Amino acid sequence: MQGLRQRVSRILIHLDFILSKVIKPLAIYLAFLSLLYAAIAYYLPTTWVILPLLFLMLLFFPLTIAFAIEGLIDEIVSGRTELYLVAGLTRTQYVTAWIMAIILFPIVGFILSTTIPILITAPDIIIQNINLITEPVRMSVLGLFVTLITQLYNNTAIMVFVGLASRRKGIVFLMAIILSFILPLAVSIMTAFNPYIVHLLMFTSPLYYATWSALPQIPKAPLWIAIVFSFTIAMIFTIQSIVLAKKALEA
Amino acid sequence: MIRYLVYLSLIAIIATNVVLAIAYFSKAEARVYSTRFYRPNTYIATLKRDGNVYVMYIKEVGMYYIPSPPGSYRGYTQVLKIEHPITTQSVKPIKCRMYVYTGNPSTIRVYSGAVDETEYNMVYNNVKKYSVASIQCDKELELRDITKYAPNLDFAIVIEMVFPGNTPIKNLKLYYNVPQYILSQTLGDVTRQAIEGDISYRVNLDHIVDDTCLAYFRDTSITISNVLAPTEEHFLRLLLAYIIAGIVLVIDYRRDPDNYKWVIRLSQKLKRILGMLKS
Repeated sequence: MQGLRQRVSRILIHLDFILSKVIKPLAIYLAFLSLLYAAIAYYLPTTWVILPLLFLMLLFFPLTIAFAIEGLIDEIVSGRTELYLVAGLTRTQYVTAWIMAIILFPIVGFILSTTIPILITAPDIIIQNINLITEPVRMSVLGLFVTLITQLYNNTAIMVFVGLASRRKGIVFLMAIILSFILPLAVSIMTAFNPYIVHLLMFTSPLYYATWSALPQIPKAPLWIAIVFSFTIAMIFTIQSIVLAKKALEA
Repeated sequence: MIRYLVYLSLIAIIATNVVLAIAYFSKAEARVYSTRFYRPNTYIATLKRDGNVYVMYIKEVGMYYIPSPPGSYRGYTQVLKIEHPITTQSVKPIKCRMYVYTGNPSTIRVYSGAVDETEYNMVYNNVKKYSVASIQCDKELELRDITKYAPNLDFAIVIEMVFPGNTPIKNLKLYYNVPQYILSQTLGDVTRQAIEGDISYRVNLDHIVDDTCLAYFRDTSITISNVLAPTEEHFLRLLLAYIIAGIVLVIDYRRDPDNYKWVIRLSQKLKRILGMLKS
């Protein structure tokens, strides 16, 4: 028990150290997001109005994460990792701290920055029924939020994996742009020709899928399937990222 | 990690504080938001009180009319749902009317109906029938009310509610609901028209006198929410959030004071600046 506590404590100390280096872009982004959410919750208590603004902010989230991933790649490529490993940190602890800093912390921060303004200004919008299974078109705010968080996790996990596999910072930023701008746009254009192509969004962008499925011409699958798909993919990429990072440290 | 999460929470609380402060000092009036799915629009509304009568009138700025195929809207029930969650259930409007006003006395349309005791909704099975009947019986009264509350109005939807006694109404919300399948049908038509190119034209307000005007409102989902200046509840919740964040910070400070050296440094700097200003 003592040993476990010590290990957790080491991870948290290193996590604190990592966050002190990478938190700035995320904090600035989340500050804007909080301001936006407070204004939305106070002035526009409707789901349909929130949606476009939410998309707008969503586009920039992967870019803020890309800065943090850049830090990890930088450490691995430059060999600075050795310093921490020599100082008594194990590979698992090192990788866990980074994964927490890149994936877990931003998502928890995102949840806090969006729910706190809503809870203060209009708590009744959160307490709405979730109709994820029966009515993907008319989702509640809470339902949209679950979809959004899944999408963020999915995109972040894919970016971490691609970053670790390529070990090039530029690729991470390119991936962020692809996931947030190019892929949804390309799928949307292709959907105009064949509506069934929209289902590609289920794998990486469940929120975009939810929006597209609001159109009557689009064949719909229940939204929870999209959430489960993208969450599973995110889990696979997270595990693969951990394996890749450990391999990189062993080399 | 906890420290950084508390920092982020504090940022969120401060951002909310800023928004509430702006709303408080700008004395926000009632706002109306169209939740129309396919075409955003601008509405301006105010809520005025005269004794126990609340009148909400909505002036639409830059209205667009989207022609819809005939027959799309028949056979469904429109619901005007009235909610005021802060007041008790026993307070119900004893009268509720909805007018469409276009600046010309001959074009007023009145929708009125009895308040459903169980569902607390006003239900219109047939808008056209009610509107014709109401215009015939209450024309003069409504004209007076509208001109009193909304002078120089080009176009308005007026919703009048009469509550028993001197009822305090807070957070009043009106939902003019449209069944989802109607919205889907309309959306389909609009998308098709958008592809064909000719989608909409600006309405000449003098001409909104016939059934097309009703169709316009009937395929529109409007949420009216009187977002007035922040109430005590807003500020109490804000204070609670500050207190919780403060408690967590104090606990974290006691656990590891070294993380908060920046606070001491900041306070020293502030003292130095204050000293310089004084001297």
